[in-house]
Amino acid sequence: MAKTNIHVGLEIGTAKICVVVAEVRPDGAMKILGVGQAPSRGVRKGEIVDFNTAQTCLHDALVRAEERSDVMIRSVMMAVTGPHIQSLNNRGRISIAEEQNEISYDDLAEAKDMARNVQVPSDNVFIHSIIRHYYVDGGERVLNPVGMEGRRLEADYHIIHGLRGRIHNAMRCVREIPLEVEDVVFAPVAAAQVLLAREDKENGALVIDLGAGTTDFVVYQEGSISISGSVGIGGDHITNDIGVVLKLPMVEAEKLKLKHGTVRPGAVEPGETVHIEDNARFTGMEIDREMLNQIIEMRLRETLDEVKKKLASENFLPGGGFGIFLCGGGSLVDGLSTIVEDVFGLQVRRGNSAPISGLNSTFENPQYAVPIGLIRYAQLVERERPKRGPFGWIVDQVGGFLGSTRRV
Amino acid sequence: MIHFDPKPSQPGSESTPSVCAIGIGGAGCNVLDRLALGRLPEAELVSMSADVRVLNNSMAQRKVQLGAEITRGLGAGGDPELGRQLAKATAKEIGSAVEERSIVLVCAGLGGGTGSGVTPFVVEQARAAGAFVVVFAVLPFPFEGRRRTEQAEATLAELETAADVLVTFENARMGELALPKEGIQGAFAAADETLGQSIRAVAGIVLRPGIIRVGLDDLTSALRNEGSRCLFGYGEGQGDARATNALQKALKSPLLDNGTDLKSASTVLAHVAGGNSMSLYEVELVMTELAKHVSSEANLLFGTGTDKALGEKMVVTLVSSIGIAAKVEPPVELLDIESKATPQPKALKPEEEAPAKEETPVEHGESVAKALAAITAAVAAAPTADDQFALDFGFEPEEEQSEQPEEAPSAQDLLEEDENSAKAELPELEQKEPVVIESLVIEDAAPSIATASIPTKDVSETPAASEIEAIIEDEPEEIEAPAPEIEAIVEEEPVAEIEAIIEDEDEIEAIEEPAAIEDFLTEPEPEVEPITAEAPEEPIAVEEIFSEETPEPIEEPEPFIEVAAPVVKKLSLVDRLLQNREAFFAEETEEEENNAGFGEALLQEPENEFVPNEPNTEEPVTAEDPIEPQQEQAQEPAPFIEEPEEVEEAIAAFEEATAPATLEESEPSYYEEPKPEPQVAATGAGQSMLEFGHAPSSGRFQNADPTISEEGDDLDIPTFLRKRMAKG
Repeated sequence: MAKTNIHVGLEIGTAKICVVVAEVRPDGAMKILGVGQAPSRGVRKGEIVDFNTAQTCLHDALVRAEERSDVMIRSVMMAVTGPHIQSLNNRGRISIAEEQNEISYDDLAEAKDMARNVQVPSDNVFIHSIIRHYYVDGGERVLNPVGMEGRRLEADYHIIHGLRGRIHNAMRCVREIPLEVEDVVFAPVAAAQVLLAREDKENGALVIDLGAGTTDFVVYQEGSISISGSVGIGGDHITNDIGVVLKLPMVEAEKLKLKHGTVRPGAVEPGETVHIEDNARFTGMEIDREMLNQIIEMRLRETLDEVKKKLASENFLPGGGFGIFLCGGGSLVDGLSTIVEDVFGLQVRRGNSAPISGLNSTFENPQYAVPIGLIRYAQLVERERPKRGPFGWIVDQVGGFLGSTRRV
Repeated sequence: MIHFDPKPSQPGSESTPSVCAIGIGGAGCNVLDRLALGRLPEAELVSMSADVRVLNNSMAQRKVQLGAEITRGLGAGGDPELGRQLAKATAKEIGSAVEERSIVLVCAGLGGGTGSGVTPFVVEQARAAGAFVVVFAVLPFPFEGRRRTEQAEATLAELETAADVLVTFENARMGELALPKEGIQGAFAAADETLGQSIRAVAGIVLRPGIIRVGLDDLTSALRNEGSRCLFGYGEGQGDARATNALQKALKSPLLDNGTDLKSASTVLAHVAGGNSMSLYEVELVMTELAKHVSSEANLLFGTGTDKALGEKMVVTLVSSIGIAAKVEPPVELLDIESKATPQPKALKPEEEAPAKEETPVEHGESVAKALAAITAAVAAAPTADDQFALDFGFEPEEEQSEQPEEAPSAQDLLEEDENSAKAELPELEQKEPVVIESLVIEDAAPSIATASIPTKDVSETPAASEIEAIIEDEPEEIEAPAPEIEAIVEEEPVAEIEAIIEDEDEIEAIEEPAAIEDFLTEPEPEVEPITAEAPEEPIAVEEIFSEETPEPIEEPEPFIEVAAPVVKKLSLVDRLLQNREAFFAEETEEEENNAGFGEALLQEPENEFVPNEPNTEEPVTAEDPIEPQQEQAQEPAPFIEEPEEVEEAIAAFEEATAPATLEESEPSYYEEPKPEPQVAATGAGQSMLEFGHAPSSGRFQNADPTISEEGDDLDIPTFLRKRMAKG
């Protein structure tokens, strides 16, 4: 496979629809060819609520990406999110037949089926089943048991599932463009691929993607995903809070949030105000900055608390060296890391700078972590595929979603 | 007042008033040049100067050289007497420049020969030609010497009587307009520009087709004070915040002193113009913002119009004046009132009647008798003007009933007295009020109905606070309450009053003109009655509106807000928040009526969220005890707000409602299928929901699936509000 591949990552977010076109070189380096972005409409809390509008926006973003990258986009990797997406860990056990000396690929597949044989709501569909570890005869974790000898094979799987209808809706939206959906990836999983280096995954890392509609998170422990999920609160809620509490139109609230919102302690003097210019639809007013920051901070804290609660319910036990990595538009809030560290009691780290070239400003912006992560994900999947499953540290595919063509 | 003329109007009359702007002397021509540079709709510019150099440089369409034979192309040399001669020598040309004009704007620098000498003559000519004359006079710098200042003041006194509106600018003040570093060129340019703007604005607001038109009468009342300083502000705004920008610029106009001067103005004329894109909201924005700079008692005259030529721009023009008269309010005496009121009628003089010189400076106070006398006389003299008379007479009853009882018997005497006293006081008043006698005499000589009735109308229309106060001080027993004029009319039965008055008049006038009085008696009554018949309806109507509205807040339970109010009051931030919220709810009550209560919103299926009084059969809490909520509801009105225990109860109840046990069973945080629920029954349960008030709005998520936390909180509601609530 010593050939260059072009992948396209698509994220239909609540605030923006983003398409990243990148070239993946044989050596694993990635070069971003173009980024297309359009403000997103008809998407609420990470889910498409207005099909046609969302499709129009998506079309805009795609056209822009095609123009900039000079690539005709035929298929995309798509990120999905939404509070309906849940995860669980399950262990599949199989006994290896007496006459069989060593564990084969078929055994692994069987173990995986066992692991996936888990009760999920009937409306739900698997998005990912990611292998975490194998155990042979209850011993230590084994990365690749193929060829090992043993009587009992256990496989720990992390299963991410979500509402079938909502995921299919998102896919339909893309397919009607028409565009092939190569794969569907849970957004934070994609983001983690670009943010986390191998050591981070080993040490343990919590990736929090503070999007506009949802806050998604994924925990890596001992090199593999252990917990993932999504909370249906995001930056839009902050805007909404500001709008509701301060009685502002949402447009003004959004501007105010971006321009003056901060949660850095001591960033504003008591009584400091900020003036909002009036315009044709809105009477200007003075806003107390302390109050503004309080509104933002309270919402952020609550969001993080919700994440923390979800983690706690999954027996989240961070070990030493554990770090938190932030991405998404919400992570641009001034002073956010203080709050994150305060809530989780863990250190916030800077994301990994993967070997990426191209539009520098793009991959350094945490807002693009997901679409770029999608390309990284595609790259990894592709690397795995020809070998048909040595199952490094990531990925198994849900067969139905695999795109048949790789013409990009 | 320009009354409606059923006959086709002659050219240059009301419908499209023809305007000409005249610059007199060097200063006047400079300003005129500024006008020529800018946009002055439909106005002919005429420059008049004795100095050929000035005329050569002038950009005016029409140039009049004054007294070419006398000065041979040189200036008047600072001698007003010479200026007068020049004017007389050029009377013909001046006359042709102003003839058939309905509005003449005269701009001159006073104190010099041409400015001081020619201006009064031009104004006189224009008046004689039937034009409404607005004079913009620039007073010389103090350093120009006392003589010059005196000349300027003498001319000013002349102009005050001659012009319809006199706007004065002080050069000394105009010097402040320019930044010190800009140099003298800049200073004069700025001064000229300001003057030019004000002329343009006056022309513009009068000429511009308006949605709410500003007329000459508004302009007159805005600029009424004698010896006054003109407050003038002009601002243009563009872009997003154009409304405020325009207003801010207008207020920052140097003649306004950042709007602080407006506080002391009794009448402010505001004109808001814009392109077709100007929205009502923007106009409202300007006016509400302006109201902050104007005293609440001030008479705010408002006009608005659109002008395609303005494009995306918005223009705010403020015109007002403060004068000695306005500042020395408290010790106003009768004569002061008189002096104040005198110039009004001139301004209101209908153009058609101008040649007849029907200036009747009748002030509202003691002048009613005079007015009536004039009316009766005029009825005899000009009975054809009945319609007009009736129109104007409609405004009179209030005056009559308040003034007449004492004065009517001695009306004739009083009239004489007034004249005498005015004459006696003349030396003191000279600067302010030299016209009185002259015009009074004129009135006696040829009084007309229209002019006689004008003052009363004027007073009722523009009751400048100061004047009313003055009246109250002076004649407290006559006017009981200045505001409820209508009621007074209703109560005291003005028809009868008028009859009484007329009887009184009879005694006086019968000797002179018995026939005229009969006319008078028959004519006014039917006109007065409709007004009295209308008048009682008005207060009642208002009451009705109130009585319709008031029940609403009572019936409508808003315990959520009310409960929260006393509890959180300790925290200043939350105070503000609450104010916001209350205001918010006040706005949204209608919407929220349809909304389920907060607690219920959490429990209900999202699809049913908006069904009011949604019965929730699955929820035992509400279904079982419908009595308790009803009790609480009964306590709701006003006292409920102040009771702290009940507040606590309510909060406890609120918390109960917000933490429903059912939520733990439904593990997914989204709701898909609406459970079929009977929409009809169980209003009691719905009421209990209303008990907990309306949800603190979740804004844009209000119509979305709620994001429910494990505790049962609706996470779409601002954390800020929820946390404060919990703390409270």
